[in-house]
This record gives sequence, structure tokens and C-alpha cells, in this order.
Amino acid sequence: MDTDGKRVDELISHFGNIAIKGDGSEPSIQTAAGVARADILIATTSTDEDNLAACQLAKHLFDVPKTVTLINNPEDENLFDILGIDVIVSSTQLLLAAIEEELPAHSPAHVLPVRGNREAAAIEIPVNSGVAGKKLSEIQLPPETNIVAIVSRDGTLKPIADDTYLEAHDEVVAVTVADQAEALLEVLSREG
Amino acid sequence: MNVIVMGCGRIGTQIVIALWKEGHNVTVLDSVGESFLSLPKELQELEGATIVSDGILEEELVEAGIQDADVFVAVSNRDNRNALAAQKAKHIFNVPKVVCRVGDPERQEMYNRLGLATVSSTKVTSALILEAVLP
Repeated sequence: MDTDGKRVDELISHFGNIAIKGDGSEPSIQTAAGVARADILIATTSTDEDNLAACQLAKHLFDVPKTVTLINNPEDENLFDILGIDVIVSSTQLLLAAIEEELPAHSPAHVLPVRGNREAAAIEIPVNSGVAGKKLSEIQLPPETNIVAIVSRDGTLKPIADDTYLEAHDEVVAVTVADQAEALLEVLSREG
Repeated sequence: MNVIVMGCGRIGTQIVIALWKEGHNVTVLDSVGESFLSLPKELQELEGATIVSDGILEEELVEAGIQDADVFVAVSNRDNRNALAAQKAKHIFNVPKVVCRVGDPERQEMYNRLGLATVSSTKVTSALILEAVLP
């Protein structure tokens, strides 16, 4: 069912008599399309209100056992669920998930420029980092790099001392020369 | 009462004016700002009485005060939009009284069966005309 006659004609010319022109949220169109015999109704328009109406009609007027809908506004998921729509596919969530998959994992470093062409960086030690479980004295820092604070996961400060152990999730604050921030990140997060 | 009216066409306008004259606190939503020109000037200028919104985004419904509303009336000329907004008011915001306009009599009966109070202007108007025509 589609309100766009051109699209319907195209479908019919390619696949035979499988499409019907009209508003799929109208009982008369659903009747003509044979919704009463359907096992499943899938609503995929770009307007949530039309998808909801089509699903509710199919479910309550034609006793279709399963209704599936696309939602365009993620907040509508809750209402559609309360109203008993069987499967709700959120296009926004799908897109977001696809985009997030393509992005690199969020950078674990916050960098702040400091006078003298230096940078202050706050870097969280990743779980699989090679420095997790090592003493400060065992770690080879890039040149002109000073660790100024180590904040453990619970927010307490660790002493800056040779025998202080770094652990995963510790946040290390360091001042380094500008072009060494990347190297520092590499040292602290390289897998061990 | 705090009343939200969604849709400021001919029907919405009548309802808003009547409730306002009764002294109720009315907020009217319409997706087209010019629709409010049908309201009395005093109401047009009343702070918070008119909001440009299609009435289906929860953020805008909250702005309209739906959390404190006693009544939500959906009377735009779009059946499906009315049904979505009214069901949101009822199920998401638990507005005590929700009334929804649905043109199509068949759909109107379905929504009534689902517990949503609906009025079909088609049915009401044709019934009145028939009454006037028949002896």
C-alpha cells in the first residue's frame, strides 16, 4: 500500500499485481489489500502517526497476528510498546549504531594547551594496557614529560612515586611538550 | 481546569473560546502560527496560551504543560496525528481526560473500543443533517 501512484505502478510493472495505491491507514485500503488474511503487517512510512494507525487498524480491526513498524522518532518506542505493537524498529537507533561502529573508540585523552608549547593531557589507562599493574619506575615516558597527578577509579589521588603502581582505569594527568602527547597516549594505552 | 487543545482549526477555535470564556486555563497548539488569528486578540496575546507545535513531540507537550493538564483534546484535521497525540497524552502523561477527534467512523469505533474517547465529526454531522432532513 502506498499513496504514491507512480511507485505503485512501477512495482506492478516489475512484479505483477502486488501493490495498491492508497493510504494504508484507511480501513478501505487495508480491506482492498486483503489485510484480513495477512499473517503480518509491516508499516514503514516516514511518519510515525501513520505507521501507528496502520498497525492499530491491522491489529484491532483485522486481527492481524503480528504488526511490525518503523519509528522515526525514538521517543515513540515507549508508546508503541504500551499499545502492543509487536516489533518496533527505530531508524534513528539503527543509524546511530551503524555510525558508532564506524567511529574509532572514543579517545581516552583530554588535552589542554599549556604555555611554552606544552600540553596537559588526562589519559585513562585502558583495561588491556601494558602499563596496568606496573610501577611508575618501570614506565618509559616520552622526553620532557612529567606526570602531575594519578587519580584512581574511586577519585582518590595516588602519590607520584617510583613505587606507585598504575592500574586500569587510573586517570593519569601529565604535562608534556606538544608533539609528545600522542606518544604519551601510546605509552599509556599500548596493549601489554 | 488546565486544558490543552491540539489543533486550532474551526473546531479547535470554537472549543478554545468556549472553555476560555468559562474561565478555564487553556493552551492551544497548532503547527501553523497563523491558525491562532481565528482566536480573540486577548487570547492571542495571553502568555503561554498559544504554542506553535504539531503536538506530538513530548518536549513540546511538556512545554505546553501536559504534566499538569486535566484535559487533553486532539482536534486537528489529521486523524492519525490526533490519535498519536491523544494516546501519548493518555498513556505516557496519564492525563485524566483525553478526547480525540477521528473523522473516519470505522476508526473512531476501533479507538473507542481501545478505551480512547473519540468523536467522529463525520458521524455527528451526518446524524444531525439526517435528523434535519427526515420527518
